[in-house]
Amino acid sequence: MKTIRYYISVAAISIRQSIQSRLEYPFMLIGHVLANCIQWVIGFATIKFVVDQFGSIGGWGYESLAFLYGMSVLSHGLAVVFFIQTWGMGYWMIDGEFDRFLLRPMNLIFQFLFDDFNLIGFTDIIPGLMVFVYGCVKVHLTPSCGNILLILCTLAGGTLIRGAVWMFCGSMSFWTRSPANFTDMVGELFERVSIYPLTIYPRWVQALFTFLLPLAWITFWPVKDILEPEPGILPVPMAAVTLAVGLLLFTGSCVVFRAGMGRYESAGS
Amino acid sequence: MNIIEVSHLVKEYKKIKKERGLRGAVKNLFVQNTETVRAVDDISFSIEKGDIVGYIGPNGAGKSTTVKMLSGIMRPTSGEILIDGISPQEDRKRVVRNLGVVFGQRSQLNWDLRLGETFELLKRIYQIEDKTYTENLGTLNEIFQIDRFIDTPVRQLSLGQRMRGDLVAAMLHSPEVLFLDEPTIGLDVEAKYSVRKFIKEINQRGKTTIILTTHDLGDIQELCQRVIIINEGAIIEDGSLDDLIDKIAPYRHLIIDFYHPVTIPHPHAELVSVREARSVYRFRKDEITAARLIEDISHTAPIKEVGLEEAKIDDIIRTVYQQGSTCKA
Repeated sequence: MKTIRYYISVAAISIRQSIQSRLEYPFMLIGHVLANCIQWVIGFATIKFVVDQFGSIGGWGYESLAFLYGMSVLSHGLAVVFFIQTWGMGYWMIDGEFDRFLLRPMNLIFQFLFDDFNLIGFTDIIPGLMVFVYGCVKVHLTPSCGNILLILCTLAGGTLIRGAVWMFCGSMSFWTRSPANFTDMVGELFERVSIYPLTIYPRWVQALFTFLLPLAWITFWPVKDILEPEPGILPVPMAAVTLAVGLLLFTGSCVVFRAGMGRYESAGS
Repeated sequence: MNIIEVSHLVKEYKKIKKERGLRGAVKNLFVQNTETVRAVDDISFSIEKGDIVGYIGPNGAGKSTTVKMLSGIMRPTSGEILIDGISPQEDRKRVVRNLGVVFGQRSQLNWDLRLGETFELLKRIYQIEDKTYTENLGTLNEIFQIDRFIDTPVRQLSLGQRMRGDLVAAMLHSPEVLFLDEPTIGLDVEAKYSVRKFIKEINQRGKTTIILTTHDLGDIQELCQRVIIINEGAIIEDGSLDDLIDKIAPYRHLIIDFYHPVTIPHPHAELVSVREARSVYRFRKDEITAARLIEDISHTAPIKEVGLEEAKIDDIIRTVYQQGSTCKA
């Protein structure tokens, strides 16, 4: 209990200071707000255009697509808030930035995750929320406790899945000793799989992203379940599976991170 | 009591040998010639509580590697380290709670925020009580006058101010052991002076044990009771600076200006040069004192001016480094 309170107090000040750091550069924040709003809104407009031309995408109508799209941008934004550090892990390794954590009497993963609470992620969350709320209205989602809980589970699980996969990719640098990692490429993959309904892909690709590389759980399965529940396939809602997959992957990525830190050799002379 | 115990410490690296050109690059994909290099080669020493020890050696001698192993950042290939009885490799968190580390070439301060913010973060991390924190900051401020720039963003501090900030950050939780890796690198005379003063004071006030690596021999002369010299991963000298000087450069030079050109030999000193009225004598400290020599000579001819030349510390250390490499080669 005492330990938990201690970690919370350090997390609180770390988050506060990260926000302060970002506020030191207000123009960068404004730039991100503009760029990200434009990016996501135009992205969504493209989908609307396609639907207007062809009637649906992968059997999904415009309203459901808005809901799916909003959910995806939201969990992307949250993942950027909490896991942005994973993008630069290779450089951290080469520059010996992990030394600082090793010299402080706290858990390494905790220090790593709370070192940079990224305010800029909220510039994704704002347009994400706009499209999502729009989608909720269009699909006439009942604002029941059950639905809210399912949405929260999906967001938490989706954020964890994204963050965990980034952390896997970032940790690879401990072995490759190269600053380059696959976080960019994986980001692209996340978009392709979580913004569009999985049904646009061939069967084997759907299976791949459901079982082998479980990215379809970020949005597709839980959203499908929220919009048109089909009881009987699974004993629990799909959103619960998303959360479970998220927790599992995150735990796995922590194990890989720890193993990588064991190989960490600092930098320079 | 020994607060630091190091025995048979070894750190090996794999050094990759690359072949020339594109053909070589392709070949290297399949066959790699690796060579094992010992950056630290069987080092043992122990340090008593409250000592300041200078850990010196030429570039690439293994100084920083040793400090990184001592502070738990790197894992030794073999050998054992005990800081206050605990191995940093086995219980990192417990060891670092009692440890302060400053790397001159790197900073733990938050670049974007005012200096004070980093201190507040460290206060939480080390769970420093409000009272102790205010007291410690007060004491450190007394030595360093950091309150003049505590509200400045770290990115706008001068190198000297930043170094002071880093030293204070490392001492806030009043650690018993402090590792300083080139704390005066790149600093001007004034900043160097104040860093040395700081090191001296915290050593005296809190009995802090300090290991200092540096290339500035002024740091060593002013601060260290003991020096450990390493080269190519092995210790080549370990002792007090005075003993080292006596051993490497037992000779001193006495320069005497007479009123007239004279040549006066002395049984315990060698007359190395006579130019007009100036004579230079070389003598061993343990054979005769300078005072005695002057007295003897002044019996023969009146002396106008005397000067005494000690061996330069830089030359002595250079000699040690060279000896170190030749005896290994």
